[in-house]
Amino acid sequence: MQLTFNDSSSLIDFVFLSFRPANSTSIHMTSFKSSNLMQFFDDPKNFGASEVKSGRSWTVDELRIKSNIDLQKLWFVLLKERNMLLTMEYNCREACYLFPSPERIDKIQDSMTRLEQVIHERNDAYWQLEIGEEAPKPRAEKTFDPTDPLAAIREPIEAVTQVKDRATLKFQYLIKEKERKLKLKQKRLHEREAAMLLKYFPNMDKEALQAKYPDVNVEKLKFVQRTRGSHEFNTA
Amino acid sequence: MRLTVMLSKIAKFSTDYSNLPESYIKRAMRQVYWEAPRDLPQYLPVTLEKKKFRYTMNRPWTEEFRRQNLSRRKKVFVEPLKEWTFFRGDRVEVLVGKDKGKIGLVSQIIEERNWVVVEGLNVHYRWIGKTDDYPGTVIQSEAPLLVTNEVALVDPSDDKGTKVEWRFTEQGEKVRVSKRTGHIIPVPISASETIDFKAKAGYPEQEKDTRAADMSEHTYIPQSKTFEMDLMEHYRLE
Repeated sequence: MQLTFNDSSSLIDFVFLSFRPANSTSIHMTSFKSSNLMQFFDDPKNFGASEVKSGRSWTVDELRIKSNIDLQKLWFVLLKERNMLLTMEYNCREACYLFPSPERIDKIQDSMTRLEQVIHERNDAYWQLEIGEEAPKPRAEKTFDPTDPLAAIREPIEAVTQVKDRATLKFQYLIKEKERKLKLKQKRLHEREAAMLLKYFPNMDKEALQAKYPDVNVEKLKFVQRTRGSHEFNTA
Repeated sequence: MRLTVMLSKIAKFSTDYSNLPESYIKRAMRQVYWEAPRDLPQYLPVTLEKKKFRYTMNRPWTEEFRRQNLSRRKKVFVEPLKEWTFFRGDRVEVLVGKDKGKIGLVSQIIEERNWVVVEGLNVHYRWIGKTDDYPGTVIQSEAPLLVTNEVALVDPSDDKGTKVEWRFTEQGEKVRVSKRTGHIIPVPISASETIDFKAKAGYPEQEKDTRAADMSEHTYIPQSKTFEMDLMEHYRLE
């Protein structure tokens, strides 16, 4: 959500204070807002509300025009808001209250992801120019694709092209066989779906059908028994 | 070659009208049957969840949709269309049913089922709030109409339904043209309406929203520095 920079000055104090050495005893609490811990909770007037209106998330283009300092401030504003929303979500669940407008968390998450993307773009530009490599990503993307469980190890396997020993060759053969079978299964499923659509909607746009199922030959489906439905033109 | 699972997709207009982020809609729709514990390495990180949804009159992120999708029902075949031609606020003529020939305004579109709900037409009556003593109140509810053969856009020149095609004007703008007369049918203003606002200019800014002036302020000066280097120099931490 588009959040204000109104508390940026207090944020600067917060950030700067955190860099003081640990043995210092002069950390002043007066510069913080009163009821520091209450920042973890929403505005009291939203307690028990059924809806809390909020604006949309930041887009990548809007973030690209901001300076690095502004992006840093925005990150902490978003982070505080996210902590507040997660606290409210947890407490509402514990107390069996409705948590109003849970989409706010997703809006914040989208904004933060895009912010990281913009920072990575800027770092990447410097790295490509000065060093000649791509900038390292701070957080490794761990995504598991259930339809392709061996994705993580496929790259190292494919890199080993010089090795021709029996075990590697057999493994490569078996992986390809598995993929071929999955592909055929998907194709048969699509053919069946396309045939059923032709059965129920004989006057439909064939190009639209072809666009929806690119791996199916729609022209040949006309001759398949399944596409014959009982319509006025083909029943007595 | 990577294969993708055929997941049910939410249409664009549903997400646009709702003003909700896509990740929230996915999260709200999720029905997980079983999920492997991620901290135990002996289990592959699988999630058994519902993948095929039956789209109804209720929007996919609502509780009513969830209740309607708890049990498995027969598959619905939806005709694939190349382009969508109906918008909220369009004047359409109903071609079937007891309101055949009447013209109304589109109040809701459900693109996943090729449906359009016309205000006040194709209605049926039902009773709600019925208890043992009280008969309940009768309310009017509109039934959806199929976009392909039950509804037609009205040509502004002669107020009759026509078949419509998307064509380009001389300026390069994509418009809807009536096949019978060749008149352009403009897209209504309420097409860009959402739950939060009727027009973008009329959106009331909330307390935590960034003001439009602050948002469009250009503060970035490109320099040959990384993000971290720029911050360190700013805070004088070298």
